[in-house]
Amino acid sequence: MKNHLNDKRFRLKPVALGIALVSVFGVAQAKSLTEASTLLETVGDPNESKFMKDIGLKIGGWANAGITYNAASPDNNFNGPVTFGDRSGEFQLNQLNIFAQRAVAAEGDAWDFGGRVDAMFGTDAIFTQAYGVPALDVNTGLPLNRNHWDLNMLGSNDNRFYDIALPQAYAELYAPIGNGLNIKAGHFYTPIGYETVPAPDNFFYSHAYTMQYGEPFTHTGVMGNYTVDKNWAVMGGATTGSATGGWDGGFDKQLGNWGGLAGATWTSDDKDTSANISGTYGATSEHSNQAWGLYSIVLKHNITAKTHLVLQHDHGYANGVLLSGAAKDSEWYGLNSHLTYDIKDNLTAGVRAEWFRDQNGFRVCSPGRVAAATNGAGNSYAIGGQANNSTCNAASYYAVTAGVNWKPMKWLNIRPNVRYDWVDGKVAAGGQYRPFGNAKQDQFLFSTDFNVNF
Amino acid sequence: MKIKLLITLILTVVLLDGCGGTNPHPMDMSQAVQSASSKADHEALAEHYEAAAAEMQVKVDEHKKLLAQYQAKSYLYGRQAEDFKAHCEGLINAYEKAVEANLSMAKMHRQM
Repeated sequence: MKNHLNDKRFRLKPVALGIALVSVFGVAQAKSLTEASTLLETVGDPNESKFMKDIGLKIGGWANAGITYNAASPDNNFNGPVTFGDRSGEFQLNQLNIFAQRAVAAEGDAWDFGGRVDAMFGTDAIFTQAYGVPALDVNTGLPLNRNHWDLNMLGSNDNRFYDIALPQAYAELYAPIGNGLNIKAGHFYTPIGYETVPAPDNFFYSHAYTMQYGEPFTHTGVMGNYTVDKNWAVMGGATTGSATGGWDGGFDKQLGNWGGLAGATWTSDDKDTSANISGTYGATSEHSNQAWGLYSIVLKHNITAKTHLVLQHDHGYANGVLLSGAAKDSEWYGLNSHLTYDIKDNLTAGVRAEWFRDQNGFRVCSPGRVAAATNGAGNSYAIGGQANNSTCNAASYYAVTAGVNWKPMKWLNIRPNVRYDWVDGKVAAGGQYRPFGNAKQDQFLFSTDFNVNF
Repeated sequence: MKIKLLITLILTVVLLDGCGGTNPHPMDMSQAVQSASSKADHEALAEHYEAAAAEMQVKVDEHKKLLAQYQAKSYLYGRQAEDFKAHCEGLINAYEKAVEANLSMAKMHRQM
């Protein structure tokens, strides 16, 4: 009898759980593979349930993975300074990104509160962690106490490439003041520049030097956006938690170092043209008043309804940084351009051409991952704990990338591209700087990746 | 029954004014709802709420088109793409709620 009752209860448990889940999440009608914008919609998107709609919550994400062929056949299998697809002949799960968001209704006359948290697993994670307190101080070369937000959660000598990043964790407020003020507070992606970390929002799998080496990826602090009128919007904020001028900060170190963010965007009446200028300015760290700053100008224009042009110029500087044992004022700057043409609704071709100058050898290191994974003792887990052997040399980098975006389904994007890189710079001992392949001055890459939104 | 419904109507109007998100109705309707006494008054209010719902539905449709563009060509928006998508979804959700609220009000007035 007792066993019989237990059996009944056992059978009822999954039923009760099912009813509870259905009542909370509901069952949204499943869409076909071709209709759906995300993979979840093909099985009944829980975000469409009444519960989720009522509280305005959305759970989402994407998976991005790819592979790169390097004609220079580097022995170390790194594609020189090229990131995020930085491995030659190896499949990379670059980003498995999950997010939860309550988006604010950013117009109208009602206050609204929200926020977003992103968690990323993959080989790109190391590039978007809060590494703004570097292993070695940029002014003195001495080891620093790094922050504990998301660094090295998985990375080790035995796990050289895959890690976790928490690139966003912020609260958001919409205040119906004037034309509407939007405020983010916490840890968030930078609004500065053009190319961005989330894979679905870039045209190419690989990234421009400007994006990888010239700009911050994240900030910790407060940022406000205000729409002045139909043509103008302004942005401003305060950053902290960083020993690199307010870039890529965390939550528990360098909180005494505050910097600023500012920017303005003009958009034409027909929305076909826009110009944005934005930048950062601050002291390098709590213990260094040396200036660190950047401005970025991004011009966008729809030449026709199908042809889109983006031009970008960045110029950054960091004063008094330690290079080859001496303090120097360093600069980096360049020009970047994207031209895309919509061949069909689901097929677009694009070209990117870039010049980037790391004037003092402070920004671009090859391989980028080896430098990023280096600890205070000078050893890098990206090469199994050996001494950091990446090279950072003053040089001009030139890169041309061409490829297509093909979306056979709305939730699937396949992005094959070819890329040619060439560098011009002299090493201290004399001779040409050769960071590609096995001491080559140039490099040809063919890579392809896919992105699935779910 | 009618008194209960009237209380519900007034409470709904007050709550809609006070909750977060986009205000589903741009006007303060409390006075109009309290003054309504005849069947014709309630019919007029129902039509008013239906018109407001239609106006909100236009905004829903506009923002769904924008969202489709942000999703299809997100690389054109670069660093702003995720915010554009999120805020668009936030507004779609708010306007959809406004449509529902207005239609619900219209239905209740038709029952008066």
